[in-house]
Amino acid sequence: MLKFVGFPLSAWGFALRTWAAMMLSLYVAFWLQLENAYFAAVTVGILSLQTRGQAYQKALYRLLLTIVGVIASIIIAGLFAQARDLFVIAYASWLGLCVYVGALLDGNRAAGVVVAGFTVAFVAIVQIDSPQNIFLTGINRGAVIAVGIAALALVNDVFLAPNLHRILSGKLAAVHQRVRAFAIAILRGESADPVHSANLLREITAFHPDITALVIESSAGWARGAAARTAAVALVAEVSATYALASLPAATFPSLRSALALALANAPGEDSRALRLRLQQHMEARDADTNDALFACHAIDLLVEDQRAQKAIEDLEADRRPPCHVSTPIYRSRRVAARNGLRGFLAVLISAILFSLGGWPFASFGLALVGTFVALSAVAPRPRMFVAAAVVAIPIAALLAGVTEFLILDGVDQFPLLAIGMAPTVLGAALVFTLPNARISTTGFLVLVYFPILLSPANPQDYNPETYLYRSLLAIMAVILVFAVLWTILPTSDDLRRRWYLTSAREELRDLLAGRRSRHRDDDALFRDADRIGQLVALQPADGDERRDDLRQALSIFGLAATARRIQRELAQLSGQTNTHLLGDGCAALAACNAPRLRAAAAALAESAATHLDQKSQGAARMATADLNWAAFLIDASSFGLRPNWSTSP
Amino acid sequence: MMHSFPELTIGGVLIAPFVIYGGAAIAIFAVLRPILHLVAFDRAFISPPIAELSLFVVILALLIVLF
Repeated sequence: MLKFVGFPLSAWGFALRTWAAMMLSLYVAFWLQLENAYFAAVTVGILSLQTRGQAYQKALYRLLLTIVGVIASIIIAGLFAQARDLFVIAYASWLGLCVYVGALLDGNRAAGVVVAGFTVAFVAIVQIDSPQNIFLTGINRGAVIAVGIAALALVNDVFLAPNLHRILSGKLAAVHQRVRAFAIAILRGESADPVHSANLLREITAFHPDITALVIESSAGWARGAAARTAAVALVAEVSATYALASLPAATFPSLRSALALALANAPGEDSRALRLRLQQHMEARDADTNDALFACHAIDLLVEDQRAQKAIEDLEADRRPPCHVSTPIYRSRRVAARNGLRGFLAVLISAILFSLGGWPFASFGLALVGTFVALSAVAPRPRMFVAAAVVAIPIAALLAGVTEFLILDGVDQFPLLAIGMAPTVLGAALVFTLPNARISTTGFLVLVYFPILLSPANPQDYNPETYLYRSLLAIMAVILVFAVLWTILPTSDDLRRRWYLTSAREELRDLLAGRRSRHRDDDALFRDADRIGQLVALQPADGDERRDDLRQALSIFGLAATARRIQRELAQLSGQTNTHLLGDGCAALAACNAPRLRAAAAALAESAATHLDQKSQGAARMATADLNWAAFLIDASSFGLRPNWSTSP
Repeated sequence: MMHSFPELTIGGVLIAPFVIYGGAAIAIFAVLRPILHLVAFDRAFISPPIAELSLFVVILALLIVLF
């Protein structure tokens, strides 16, 4: 990879595009004589993402939810213009609500929702003394954001910003190779590490925000999005089938194991049909050992899902829509979201009290920044890391803004000089943003966004040191306040999150076993469960072997839930074709989590299928038999006691 | 003859004609996207983003000239 001053050329391309878009947006905003023209540059900083799809998706949500925020500002100001206390309480409640909703989403959608929250601060709170200006401020804010979006879109298109779908298909193919390598290692007798399995699930589910951004990128976006969703779901199912194979004794079917490993290593295609046929025969053999039949069943799943993933990645590259529609719902803890929302509400109230007691000028600006930090940290993957990065980034941004304004520019009023003066900071921050280290990258992003806010370029620039000092000090105070709030008010530790995630997994499995069908289809529910495991493994590791035990338990629940959904579907297919009593036994055994009863139900179903069912229904009965036996196996193998009477208290 | 631009008034607030043209162009472009995919518009150009941007500008210009 070609590098210049330690950064790859692609990073330099990104930095130059960001700077060009920022300057173009500022120039247009000055030309249109928009109030707070600097916010066009801030918009570019916020929307600067490395691919077109991501930037456009963020821009769309930002624009739409700014409109929502402006409407909320007008309503709040209309209701409480005469009562400042209620005004601030209403804003805090609105921000808390937006943070709650944002915490139930991911990626740019979550970031967009919280924009609606803190837009109220920049439109209504900063105009708290002159509510008659709120409408104009809102219109003006919408205009500068639209200018920023148009400038970024133009620069991205003209200067050939990378396309998300190419990068995503490359990443999906790379993960597919890793999943295959994992499966081959398992087939060669290695034991499955729950951390490795969970990390694979995390890698796959982490593609979700990018997959949702594909739609807006181009006219082929819908087809590409559908293909990427199918690939992600197939990869999750492939990891699930591999983990199932790892649970079986290593001595099961040595000859088939090596044939399967070879087929996966050679990227299965037409040649694997013979192997699938062989596996099918082993599964259907009436005298087959139960473990052999289970191995054959999961090996077929592995091959099928591997081919589905391969085909979907090819569809993504060729802009083809796959035949089956899947959606990829994500898991979000409502408890975590509610806690975040409440913390946002309290943070705004506390900071409003402190700022009003201080009696400083620009206090409303400080309050607006508190709302911004609280909202953005709540939707960040790691809120504490985000705020810690902000504590470093804001003083740096303030220092660089001061140096640029009073040492570099120092009274000049020509736009080209402003563009040159801002270049070192904008280019540097954008380059740092491209680094792989999350903390340093977040610092770069925050400098990119807050540098134009604190510099506040205007036409003409007033070069007022007092304004600069007040704004910088308030920004630093706001971020320190949010840092303190995050650690002291309703802190959500990783340990607490871990318990909540496991509790929710148990509760949902209990409901599923009791016969309550999920509102998601089987593939979609599998992806959602995998997303929960991905979040679990992303938490700070617990002491000793506790993390491994938690993940093992989560993966056991994941496997049993997938099996329970399949059993319910298969038994529903068989209803009306075989003895209802037999199907009822299967459901009751599943609800009771009773392994011997599940095995008995499986044996009875197999017996009945052989004598009473036609060829087609026999296939469904065989699958149901294998899954009932697999559920019994999982219940026996689990050291955590997969029983319906689990305690759900944390 | 001077070309007059339509002004949208919402609750007594005048909305700039360009906002209406821009919104209409975005709506038309969004409707056209499935058709563009069907005719493999993406594959007809070396740089599909610039081609799509040009198409958007053409739609916007046509709206401004014709209405």
